[in-house]
Amino acid sequence: MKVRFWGTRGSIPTPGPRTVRYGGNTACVEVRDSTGALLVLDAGTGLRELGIAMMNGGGRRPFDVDLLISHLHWDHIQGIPFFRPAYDPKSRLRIIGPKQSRTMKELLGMGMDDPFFPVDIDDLPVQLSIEEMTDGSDERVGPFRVHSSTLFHPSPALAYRVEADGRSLVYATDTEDAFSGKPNPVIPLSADANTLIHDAQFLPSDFKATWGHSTVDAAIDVAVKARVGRLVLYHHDPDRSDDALDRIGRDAQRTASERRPGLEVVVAREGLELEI
Amino acid sequence: MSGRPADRRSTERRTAAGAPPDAADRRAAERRSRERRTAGHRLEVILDVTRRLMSVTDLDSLLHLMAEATQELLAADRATIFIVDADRGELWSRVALGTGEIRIPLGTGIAGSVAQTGDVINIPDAYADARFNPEPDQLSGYQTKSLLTYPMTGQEGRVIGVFQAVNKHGSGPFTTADEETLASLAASAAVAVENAQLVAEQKQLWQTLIETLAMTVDARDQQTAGHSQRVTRYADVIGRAMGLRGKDLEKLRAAALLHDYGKIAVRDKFLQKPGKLDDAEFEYMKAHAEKTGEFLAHLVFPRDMRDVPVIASQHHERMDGKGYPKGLAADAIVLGARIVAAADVFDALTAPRYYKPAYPLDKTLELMDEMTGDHLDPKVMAAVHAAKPHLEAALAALKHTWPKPGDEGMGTIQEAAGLSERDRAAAKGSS
Repeated sequence: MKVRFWGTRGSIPTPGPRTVRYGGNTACVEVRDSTGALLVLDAGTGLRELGIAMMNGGGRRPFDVDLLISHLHWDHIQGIPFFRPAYDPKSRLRIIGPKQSRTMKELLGMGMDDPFFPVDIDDLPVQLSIEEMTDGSDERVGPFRVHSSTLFHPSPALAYRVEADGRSLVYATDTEDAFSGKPNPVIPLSADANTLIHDAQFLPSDFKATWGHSTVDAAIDVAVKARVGRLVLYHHDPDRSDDALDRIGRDAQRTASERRPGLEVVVAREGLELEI
Repeated sequence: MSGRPADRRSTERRTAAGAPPDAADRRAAERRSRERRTAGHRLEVILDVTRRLMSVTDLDSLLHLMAEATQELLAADRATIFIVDADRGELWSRVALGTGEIRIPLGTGIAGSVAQTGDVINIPDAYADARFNPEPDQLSGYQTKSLLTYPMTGQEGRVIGVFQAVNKHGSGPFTTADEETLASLAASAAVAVENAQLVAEQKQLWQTLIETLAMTVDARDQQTAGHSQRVTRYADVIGRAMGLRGKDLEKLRAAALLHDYGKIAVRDKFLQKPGKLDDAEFEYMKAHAEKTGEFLAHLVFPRDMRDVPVIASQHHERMDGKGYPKGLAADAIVLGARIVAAADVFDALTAPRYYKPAYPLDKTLELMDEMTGDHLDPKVMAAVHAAKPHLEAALAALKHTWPKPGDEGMGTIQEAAGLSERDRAAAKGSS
């Protein structure tokens, strides 16, 4: 498996000179298995860039896209209307998100309803299907096997464990589980995973309870307890500058190494590619 | 990764260079959404307008409502609704609420031609079309561009009105979809307009019917010419002073207008006899009040006007119970009848009759005060006094309807300085 980061920011896009290296687009990760099959994790503004790369990249057409959405906050869905493969009638797009009282189809549709966007979700030319997952789902999504766990977040949200080619990747963004006072579901979900992409919006010094996010230290703690090989710090606070993230990365690697020798810490940045 | 890993700079360059290959699909999707949203919105507006149309029965409000709906549904800058006036061979409309009306002869201009032929005329550019008359534009400074004119067809297949929408927003002409929208709107509007016309005609029929009845009875006797009309006006003034409004006033006016209708059954030799009636003749004359009730009871009044015959037939009842035909007293007499009684006496005294001159207002009120309690209702008389300036104005306005010296039976007015026995009798026997 390979991953590439198209958006690493949390909350809101943050273009500008302070975010050039780590990027200003919101959550979006491209996952490919060894055959090139595509799975996208979240549809923040980074999805637009991924779509453009696909249109220009000369890959297999028509596209066959599976998109897992962690939850429906703006920074995780805003790219959908701007995902150019969604306007290709020959391509197929399957969106999967956490089940809640209203259907995923209806909820995603609301975001594109007039007057928020000129194209209704039903009018997207792509062959679209929208499905749902719940806590503890264990399903095949194309060549990928996907497990899910419900996260502690102000809106129904799922973490996903993705397995393919005998390798495993956990995507756990927007989680305050480390501070919920209950067993943290991300730890068993991430057990012995090769790579854990984890919410690291806050530092202990600027942590905001009930906002639904984790700290860098909590992310390290999960990675240690779950015995993962690599931790990717993700969902950067919109106020975090490139320089601050450099420092955070260095400090985090030191802490991680102290707690579990061999644990690699990476700070997610746009354009970063990792072999899982 | 997506085939070749993307070099982001080259990606952006290509995007900026020209329309990406999926742009047409994106535009088509946008158009579909827009059309569906527009269709849904149009349907909602049509339903809403239909609902409101059905609750409005006056034509002015209907025209306003339909013009608003047309403007909104068609995204038109202006909309005018014309109604066919078949009697005058014209189309008419209000220019704007509260302003005057415009009239166009049927067959002239675009709207007039649609009214005559029933054809839809959809003109993308008015100034390129010979049928368009640029004169109104020249007068108002308005620039007409696109113009959609659509007939409103009534139940019998006649064109009863015309929708005209002017200048579609944006650059395009009005579309086939706009014509379809107007077709739906026009169908509901036609029902509402015909209803409103029926209601208006019915009201007119009713009003002219009772006016005609009153005219026929007044025509029997020159010396009471205009009497019913004047009593109606005085009763209306007194009724208002007593706080009557709306339907109550309408009933009062109808009853006042028809109060003497029974006289149609009184022989000319009594009705037109100069000089005093003897007792037997007076008894005979008295029958007119009862006849009024009898005749009017035969007429099927609109539901909310059912007590008009009762009011009309009780106008000779007296507070002391010595009146006729039933000898009802005080509150047993309906209020309307007590008002008509006062208005009746008021006219008998203020207008000239062959046996008496016209009394001035003050003298009339003095005489009526003397009759108050026994004959007239003190509460009604209080209103008469309160409404004195209004009565004075009404009196002045109606003087021209009085019988003139030289009219049949009016040649022998004696100038009387004081109130003679005869005057009192005239007042009491006012009819």
